[in-house]
Amino acid sequence: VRAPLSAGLLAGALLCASSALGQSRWEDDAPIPYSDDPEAEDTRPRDRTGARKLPGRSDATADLREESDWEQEERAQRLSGIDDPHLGVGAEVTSGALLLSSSQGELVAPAFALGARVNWEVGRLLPSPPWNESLFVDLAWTFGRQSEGTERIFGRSHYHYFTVAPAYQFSVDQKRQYGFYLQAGGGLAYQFAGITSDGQETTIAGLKPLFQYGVGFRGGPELSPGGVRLSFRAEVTRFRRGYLNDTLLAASVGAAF
Amino acid sequence: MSSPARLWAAAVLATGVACAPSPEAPVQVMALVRSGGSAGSYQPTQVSLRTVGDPVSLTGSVAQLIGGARIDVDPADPLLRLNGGNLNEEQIARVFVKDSGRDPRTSYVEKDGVLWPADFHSWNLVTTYYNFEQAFEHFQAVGVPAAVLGVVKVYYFPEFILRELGPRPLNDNALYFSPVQAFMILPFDQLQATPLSINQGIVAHEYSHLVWNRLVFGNQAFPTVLGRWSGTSQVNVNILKSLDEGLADFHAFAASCRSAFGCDTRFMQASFNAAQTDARDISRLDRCFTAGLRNSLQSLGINEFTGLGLHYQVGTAFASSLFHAGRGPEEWALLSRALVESYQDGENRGLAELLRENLETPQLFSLEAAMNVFLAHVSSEELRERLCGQFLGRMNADRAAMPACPAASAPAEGCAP
Repeated sequence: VRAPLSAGLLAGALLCASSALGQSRWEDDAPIPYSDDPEAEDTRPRDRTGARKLPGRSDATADLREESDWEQEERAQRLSGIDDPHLGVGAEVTSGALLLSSSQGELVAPAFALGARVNWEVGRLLPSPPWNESLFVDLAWTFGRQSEGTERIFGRSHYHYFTVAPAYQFSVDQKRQYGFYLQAGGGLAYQFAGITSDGQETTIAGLKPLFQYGVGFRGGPELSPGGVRLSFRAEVTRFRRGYLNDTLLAASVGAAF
Repeated sequence: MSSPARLWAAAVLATGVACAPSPEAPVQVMALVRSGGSAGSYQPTQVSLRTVGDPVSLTGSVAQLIGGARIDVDPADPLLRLNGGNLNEEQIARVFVKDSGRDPRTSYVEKDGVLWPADFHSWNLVTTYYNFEQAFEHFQAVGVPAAVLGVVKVYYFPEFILRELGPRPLNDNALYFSPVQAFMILPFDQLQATPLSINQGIVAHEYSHLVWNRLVFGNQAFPTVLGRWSGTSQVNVNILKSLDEGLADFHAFAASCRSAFGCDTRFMQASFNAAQTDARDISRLDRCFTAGLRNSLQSLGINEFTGLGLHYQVGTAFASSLFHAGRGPEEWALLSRALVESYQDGENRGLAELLRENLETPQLFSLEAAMNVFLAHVSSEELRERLCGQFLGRMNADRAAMPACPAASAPAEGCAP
């Protein structure tokens, strides 16, 4: 019995203390009336308890304002990541011309190029536009080969470029994911060379640091609603292979999921 | 450091470390060279480039290789008439070189401190530089100062047009072309054997033409003596052209004695067929300056004479005389030295002085007069005696016109008088 009583006393004491404190603060913060201003006195109607008399009903609620086009688009963009059915990954095959640095001092030494790459819309990991829609990264392999010489002495050279390259896309068509992009990255170049003289081949191979940068245009229109997208691009990519400069002019096609 | 920052730092680092190889000379490289046991085949061999400054552009104190040039030699080029047609050698070269080209970008893979060419043209370029260095060292060894030889331009696979021959670029040749004061390694087309500039003997042969031009013709784009004698004494022009070719073959042979493969009179075989090689093999005893050749030399104009390739035949007979006069690498080197000393020798009257003296008296110049100058510069009495014997027998020379010929010289056998 003593415990509830003690709790009741404590609660009462606290309430009294709080009330006393509140009264004291109200009195301190009360506005100082202008003694010579008649309008300072509140003349609005009051009930018998002295409280202000409120209208019988409140003002009608205003009509719900519709979102503007911009607001709708902005909201759609903001929420797009939530219900996008795509995974944000894709794969492409590449073909084009690899304009190798010309050892003989010509402008370039052209070679046929092949390649493959997977890409990931890595920006999806980020919370907000534009980075979550514009950033992607490629993991690519590009291959070119050269062979030249006389019947007696000839050489063959193979070039394998392995790169990881993030890119930023400037969208021109959100729905079909058309856009221009800038890309820079790096990796390794594996170079194999063989020289054959009088039927005897001698080979050498080595790795070189590889730096890449470039521009391109890519798109990803849906092949089926919410399903697979066609992924394509055209690009100009510059490779810095050791101390040599190569240029890739290529087109790619593949699928994005 | 954040991830993007790390990425950019790595990229910048990759760019920074992606520098061209820049070792100090001597630079260890692989080149296509005939070694002692290679049976005449050019195989990858580690060599040392002692004079190269930049192994990527292949520029050094011996040669500067240049790619992608365009040289258009048109005698009707209006630029040749500038300044009343009085152009110096540099201006003439500038008229003909329409595109001065670019530095090669030789591709290497480095392995154990040795640079390995990583494509065909890189192999070809590196070997070309090496061969020029070997030719340079040969001529230095036989007494030609480095300052005379200088740094030579080598146009690699240029577009080379001789309008007098036609509008199409020429292929399948390597040459020293005095109007542009440079060598040209032309692209191959029909020649499918060892590329000409990989062939060390052919590069030494062409380098000999440079030495001849520098010392005998005073480095003139269009030698005065040839211009003067072309109208009045074509026989003398034929003689000079023949001597130039024969001496180039002999110097190339003498230079081959410095190689690991050894002395080789058939150095052309790697690039040409057996019949062509036989025709230029200076070791053969049947290489003679016949009466028929002498008649052609005296009667044909320079275009017809060279068009028939007769300057090579006369030259091979002359070079064969030099070869058979010597009895081994030491004597061949001595002869090589004597020859270049005789090209220009001031008061001792070398070939250049002989030509200058007879600029207006071409009838006083002859094959014997030139051979006499050579004989006079052979310091060894015994060697001179043998050489004169070769001139008398193989070249059917007139002893009376060669005062430097020792009295003891007997005509060498093997050629019909």
